[in-house]
Amino acid sequence: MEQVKENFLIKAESETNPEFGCYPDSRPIEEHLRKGIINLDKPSGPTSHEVDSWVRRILNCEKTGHGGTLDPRVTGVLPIGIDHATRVTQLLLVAGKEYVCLMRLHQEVDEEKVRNILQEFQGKIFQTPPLKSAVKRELRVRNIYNVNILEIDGKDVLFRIECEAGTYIRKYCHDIGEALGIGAHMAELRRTKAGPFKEDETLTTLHDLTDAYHEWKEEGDESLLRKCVLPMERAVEHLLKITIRDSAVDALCHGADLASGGILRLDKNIKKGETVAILTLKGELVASGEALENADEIHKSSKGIMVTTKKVFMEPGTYPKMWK
Amino acid sequence: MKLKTRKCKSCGEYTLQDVCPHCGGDVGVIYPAKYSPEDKYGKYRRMLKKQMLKKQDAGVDA
Ligand SMILES: [Zn+2]
Repeated sequence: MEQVKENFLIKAESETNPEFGCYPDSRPIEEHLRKGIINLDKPSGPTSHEVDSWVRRILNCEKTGHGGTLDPRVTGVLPIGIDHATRVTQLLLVAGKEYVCLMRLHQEVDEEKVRNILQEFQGKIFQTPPLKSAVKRELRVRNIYNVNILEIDGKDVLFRIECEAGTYIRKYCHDIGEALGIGAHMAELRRTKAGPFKEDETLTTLHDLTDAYHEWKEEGDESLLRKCVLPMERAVEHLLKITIRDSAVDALCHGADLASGGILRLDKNIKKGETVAILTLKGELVASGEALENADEIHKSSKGIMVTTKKVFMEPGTYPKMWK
Repeated sequence: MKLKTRKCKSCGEYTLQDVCPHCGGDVGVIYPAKYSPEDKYGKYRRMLKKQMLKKQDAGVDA
């Protein structure tokens, strides 16, 4: 816990009123579901939208939405937000991703050449979106943070890649094939990370989810469901954070920007222009916003707007109205 | 669909081999089982899961 403290600048101390809001891990199960996010292990076959609709059917809920679409044949980490948390997945769209990819070369080639080319295809690369893509087909730059070759077996190259959101792995393999002059294609792909979600004990299959919901509805045991569905706050773990006073919460819920006086502590690494998550003292997600100053300036400030509110996630009226 | 990529059941590493090259552990498929929204066999799956849990619990007690 010491380390957590060190990453924060304390601007003011305050307490939170237990009568309002709720600690994310203590929400009653119905509310927990409404504000829940699933670290889903997508099976091969369905589109990401089909998976959304299956989850709606399993949980008998109104809305679902995923963060970062996976093609039908791709499996792995597909975060899915439920009802009130549906929009939270938008905060994952720009988050970094990690995949394990099996690339098949179209001819045998010296291993050293493959290793060298993959070394070169790191850092900033250029990609044109595929023909079928919904986005405008313009050359775009994507950052490849790291590529790690796990195994090479003849024409098969298994590698792990950490990359910026919106990187086309299929295109990446194709371009490597071109660069090698022999051609290559993506044979198998699995996503192992999407922002803060990864292959850990929270990763849940559709079967797990079905059984957990059944246990709750038929047997009255909600413990499995709490393992499958996480508080939506998990979806902002990768963002820089600002904690605010109870008295500042409701204005933000109505779309107001965050002023200096409402801030209690903030991440040391906040930089002007960056996306921040705004939390209550109980750790509940209020909104996301854009920092207007660096952490030091915010820390020193005594008045003025420090963060413009972008997306509000907390319902107005959760905390008392303290503004006019 | 038969995928060539495997995953070690012990250490979680991905591999193309039949035995984990990192720890010698068993390897398995990397993707979750097919799901059908009708889920006709859900009842049996849950029964099996419970039996497995009971066996595990018994194992711990013994
Ligand atoms: Zn292993």
